[in-house]
Amino acid sequence: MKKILIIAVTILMVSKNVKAQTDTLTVIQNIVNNKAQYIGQPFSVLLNQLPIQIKYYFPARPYFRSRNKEHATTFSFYFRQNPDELYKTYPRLLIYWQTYLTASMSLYNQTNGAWTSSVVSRYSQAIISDIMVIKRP
Amino acid sequence: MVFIKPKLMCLRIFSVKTINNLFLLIIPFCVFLSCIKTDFKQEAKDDNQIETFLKLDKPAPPELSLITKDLRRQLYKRNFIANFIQWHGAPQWEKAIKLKKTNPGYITLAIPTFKNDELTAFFAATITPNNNVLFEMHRVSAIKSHLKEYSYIGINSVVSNFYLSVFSGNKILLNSPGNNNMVDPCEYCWYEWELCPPQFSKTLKDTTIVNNASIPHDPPPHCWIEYCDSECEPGGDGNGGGGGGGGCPTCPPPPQCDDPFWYSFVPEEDPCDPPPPPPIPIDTCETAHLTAQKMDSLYINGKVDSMLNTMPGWQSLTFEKGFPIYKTYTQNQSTGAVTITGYHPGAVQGNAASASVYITFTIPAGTRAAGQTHIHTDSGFAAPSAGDIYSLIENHNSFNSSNAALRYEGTIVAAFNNSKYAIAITDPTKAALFYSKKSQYLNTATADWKNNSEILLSALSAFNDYYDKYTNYSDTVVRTDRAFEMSQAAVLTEYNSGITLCKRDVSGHFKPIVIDTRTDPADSTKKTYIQKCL
Repeated sequence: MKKILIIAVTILMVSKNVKAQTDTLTVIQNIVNNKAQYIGQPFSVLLNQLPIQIKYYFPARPYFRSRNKEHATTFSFYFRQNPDELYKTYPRLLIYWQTYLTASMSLYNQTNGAWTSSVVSRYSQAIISDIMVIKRP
Repeated sequence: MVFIKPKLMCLRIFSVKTINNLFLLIIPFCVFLSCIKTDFKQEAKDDNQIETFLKLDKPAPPELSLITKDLRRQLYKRNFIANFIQWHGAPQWEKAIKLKKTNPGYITLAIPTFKNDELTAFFAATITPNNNVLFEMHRVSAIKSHLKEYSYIGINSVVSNFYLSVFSGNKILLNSPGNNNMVDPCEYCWYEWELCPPQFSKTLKDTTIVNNASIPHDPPPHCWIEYCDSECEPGGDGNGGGGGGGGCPTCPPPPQCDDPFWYSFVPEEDPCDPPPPPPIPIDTCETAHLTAQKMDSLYINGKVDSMLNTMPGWQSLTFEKGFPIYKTYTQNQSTGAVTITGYHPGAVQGNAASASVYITFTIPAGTRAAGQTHIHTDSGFAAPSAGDIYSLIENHNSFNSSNAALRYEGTIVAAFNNSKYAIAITDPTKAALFYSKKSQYLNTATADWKNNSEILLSALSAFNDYYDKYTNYSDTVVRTDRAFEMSQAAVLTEYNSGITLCKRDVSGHFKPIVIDTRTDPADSTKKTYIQKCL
């Protein structure tokens, strides 16, 4: 009986995780489908309309010849506790900025990628130029 | 008062036996679901391979699209791409030609295949009046060996020999069986396709007519341009059959296949050729280490350190500089044997007018391009860029030779932080396929992977992964550079580039950086990057 309960709980957790990922993907896909209403707007507009909370972010790697420019940022709805959990941060939103931000990995290093108020203020006024989804690579 | 937890109450509704039975049903279902997922992954991998195999970099003419559509259908039914590439190399769809001489109502295209940059064959595809497609192979090896092959379409060996010479860019008829007098002169006429120029008009023969140039892409913006190597009378087009067709008197009859027209297309079933040599097991790591050793030699022979010393403070430059590396050789006139007599660097190139440098080669007689070295400044990453990777393949193609000793060897990058990298082609066939996706993958303006391309998304993920792991690097510049080099290595493997990235270690030797991307068997959503060949 105990074994059965363990199996039941495992199945429940797996299905819950799959459902969560599906829900996240649906939300992101919905944003991408309606990206026209966000392009040209400050990120705060999108942020205020998100039905789920951002938990983790990562400044996309700068272009090869401009390592000091953050032209895009990825946002996730799961906070990974350690590097081994990074795969759980997908699917993500990939947002390109109209005007690049000055690359600053120090803020990321401080918060370990957590979505904090200082991070929110960094990105709130950045103007969106495009929105993509990064599924599980 | 006794409280019973609601959860337990729910369980009480069913007997233990009922629950056991329920799980007996659920568990196999879960196993079934996990199997489906694995199958989907395999299918996705196959899909990717098929689409890569059929990929064209520019809009295809409708005739060619019809052929690739039919081929796609057959490949999804039975994927023989690996076998095909092993025998014939990769098809070059962009070089497809249309034959002038066909039966009325039929259209025949010929598509060449290349292996290690050498023409190996072409396959003919005939579209019948009811839009069925028939295929057959014509191989250089078969013609050289005077082997006659089945010909469903009716291209005899003399004519196929001629088309092979067209594809090789050297219209000299090879020694082949058959009698040229039996060939209709119109067989020596063909059409090549290209995207229509803006001023496209009806003056070109057999073209897609675009009445109004202001509607550039409707119908598709391509045209067929006629070439002739003989006197073909007007009206000769489309009349008569295709001549003998050969047959295969010394071979057994074609095997019974689901689709008989694949008989001569799928090599493993072809009785006309000897069986292919067993694939040589190639140890990826052995190849990678050998490549690293070659880069050691190139670095020393090219006098890279001495050349860098001629540029004091090169680590602080704000623009790239670089230099070519040449090798000199002699060739024995009677045996053709080549001897490399030495290496030397060329003059330094690059100036403040441009942030990047494009190394050009000036090659006198008896000299070949061996490689190049250029600097990466601190405004960019240290390791080779996507632009460097494509430039490597272009150099390989430009200075290719049937003699391995004369080929382009590799590109060396000397970075602002004193790191030295080298990239070299270890699998020319894979590199050629990877190069065919250049327009999809490369952003020439940034020398980086193209925005939103599949490869960029993979590179970003790998970068994120390594950046998070490299917490021991307190310096962010070092941390990002390390993450960048690992992410470049990861995508080079994941996207089958056929290129190995090497980095010079403290002992002064290049070491390969080979990263495998693996899926956790316990959790198919978990991708891990494993460095091997250490």
